[in-house]
Amino acid sequence: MALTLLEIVKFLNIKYTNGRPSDTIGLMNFRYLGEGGIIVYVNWYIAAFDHWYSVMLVFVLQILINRELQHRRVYLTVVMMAVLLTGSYLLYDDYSDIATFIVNLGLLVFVKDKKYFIVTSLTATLAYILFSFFGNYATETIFDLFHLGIGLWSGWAFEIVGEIVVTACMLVVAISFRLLHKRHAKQFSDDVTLNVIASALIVAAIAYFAIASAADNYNIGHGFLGILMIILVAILLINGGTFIYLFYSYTMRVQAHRQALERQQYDIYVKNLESSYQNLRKFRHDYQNILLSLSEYVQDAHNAELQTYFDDVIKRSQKSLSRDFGHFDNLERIKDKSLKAIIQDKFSAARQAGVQVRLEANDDISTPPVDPVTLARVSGILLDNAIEAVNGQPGGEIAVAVVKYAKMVELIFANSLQAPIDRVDELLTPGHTSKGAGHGQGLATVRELLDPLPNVTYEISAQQQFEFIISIESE
Amino acid sequence: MLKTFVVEDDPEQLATLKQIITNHIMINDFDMQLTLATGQAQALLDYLTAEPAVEGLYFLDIEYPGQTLNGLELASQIRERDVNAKIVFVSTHSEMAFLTFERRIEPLDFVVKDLGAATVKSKVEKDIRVAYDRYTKQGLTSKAMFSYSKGGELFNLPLSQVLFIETGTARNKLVLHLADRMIQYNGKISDETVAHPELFRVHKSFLVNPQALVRVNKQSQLGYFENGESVDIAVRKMHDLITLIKQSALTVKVD
Repeated sequence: MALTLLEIVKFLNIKYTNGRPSDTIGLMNFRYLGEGGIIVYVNWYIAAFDHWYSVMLVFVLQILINRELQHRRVYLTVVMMAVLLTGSYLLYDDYSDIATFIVNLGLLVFVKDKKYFIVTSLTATLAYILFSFFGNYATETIFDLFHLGIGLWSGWAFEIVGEIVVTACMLVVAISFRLLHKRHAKQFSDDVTLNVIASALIVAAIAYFAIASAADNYNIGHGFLGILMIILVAILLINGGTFIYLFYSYTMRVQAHRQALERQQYDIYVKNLESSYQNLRKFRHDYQNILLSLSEYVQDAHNAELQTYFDDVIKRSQKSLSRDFGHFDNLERIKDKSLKAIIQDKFSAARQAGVQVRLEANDDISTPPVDPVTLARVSGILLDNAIEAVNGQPGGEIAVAVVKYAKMVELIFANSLQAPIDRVDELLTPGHTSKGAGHGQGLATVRELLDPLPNVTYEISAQQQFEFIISIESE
Repeated sequence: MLKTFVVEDDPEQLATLKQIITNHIMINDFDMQLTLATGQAQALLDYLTAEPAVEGLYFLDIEYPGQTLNGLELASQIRERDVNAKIVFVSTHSEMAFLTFERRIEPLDFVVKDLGAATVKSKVEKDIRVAYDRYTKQGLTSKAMFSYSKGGELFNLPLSQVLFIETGTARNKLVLHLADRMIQYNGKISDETVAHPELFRVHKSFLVNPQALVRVNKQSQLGYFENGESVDIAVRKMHDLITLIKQSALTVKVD
């Protein structure tokens, strides 16, 4: 038996792909690693096992990665497909990888997230192709190390060791895919990233299949094929990468331009809004004063009917006048854009939460001499704290005042309190969250941000209202 | 005598305020007088420049359309001329800048006009009573003051509110602990020790107002204040502090 095998092997000392005898089954009955690590089959059932296992492995990897595929219907389909593919492979083995991949795509029917599926499917197939090469070399090395000959049974052993190596590698791919998916869920659902990955994989797959079939047709060895493939993939990736880079940088530029335009329009809009609020405020003030002086006359007139009518008018206009226009009052006085933006943003958030807001600015305020990012962070934290503290408080109010002195600007952040806090020093300690007042963690950060600034000092009090005052001295 | 001043640009409202004030002074027979009721902010300043050492109660509006001075500027100029000025702002709610005025002027009160004539009347009358009360007691309780400066501005507060001064976490910054407030300002503790002899240096980093101490624990070397805050006391300062407490007969519990 061993002798005949050796003879056959010698007879079949030919490349797997090149100069293959016309009798396919005759070839496939033998598998042996001939010169240069080329696969030669020994028995047809080993070939059948090998192929069936490889097809199943690709499918199982798919199922492992894609939770959506874990149905009984899919498992049944997979088994049927594996049997079918193995049968067709035994008859005619060319382009079996392409066939596996195409049939693999049949699983698309079962999934909703098609793009993600294509990525995983391509990854699975390409990983299998890569690892089956690697698996063969690894197994050959193992056999060589243990001085194992290739007999009928060691042919089986060869097969099993090889498949274990490949399976282990594939499982690693599946697990890392899962981990990546879990940790970078956003990238996997992001269309752009998925498109890029899918196109890269498709390029690699097409390159491989094209070169494999070309190599088959023109009798080119697999080693040369590998080099060709690397070159082709590199060229395609470089081209594709350049194209993608140019395309995205162009869209980014267009987007940035559009954003700048929007920002400009928004600034104009805010300016218009501010001036109309200013007019409205002026009118409100005049109207209120007219009403007040009228009331003196009405009282002097001693006319009961007029008095009741007038009281009614006052009551009604009071209601409409006292309605909070406040969130745009004085905003035009703050010339520093980032400070203005953050106050505007937080005030509208507060108003949406039903909190009364007030902004005081006694003078035009230019950019204070402090790092704008620090100032924005600090004001953001203080305003968020204030909103949180006041939210749900009946009649709660938030106020911000910008007070200008000759050599200093003070920012006062205040909010109403339900109960005074006695130990303001504790509010600034990290990890100390005051009970329900909402000032805590954030204030420690504020302190950390402000302490290193030589021209900035602060005050804090929490009696009738919570107050945080930031004094910024001009240098 | 406590002089009363009104600056209100609307003649009707000015007349009403005048009437409320003169009536209330008369009814209570206070040692007060409505000295000046005008629509012009400058007229009040001119009066104060001509007559130094006035102690007054001032009812001011916030906006004076067409005039160079507004309420805030007028009030801060009054403060410069009359340290004990009792200032009341009478204006509509939308004009009030409560935080700003509180910070810069420390007014006696805000009277919101839009709350109706009756409320305005009762608030103005109450302010007259409070101002008069403070005026009569001013001489009795000689208030020691404490002051610190920030950005060229001097801030004053009664010494009785000061608990202690602590060196801050950042260089050249001090933290002033008041009974209800914490104030960080630029300075050196050694300079403050010299500048405020009424305070006692108990530790390298603590300058304490002995009047505010409630309890001193010799064992743990800590001094406690009413709001629960505490300071470290250095071993070699403990003896001096206890002598000081005994000498000034302070009500500090020593254990």
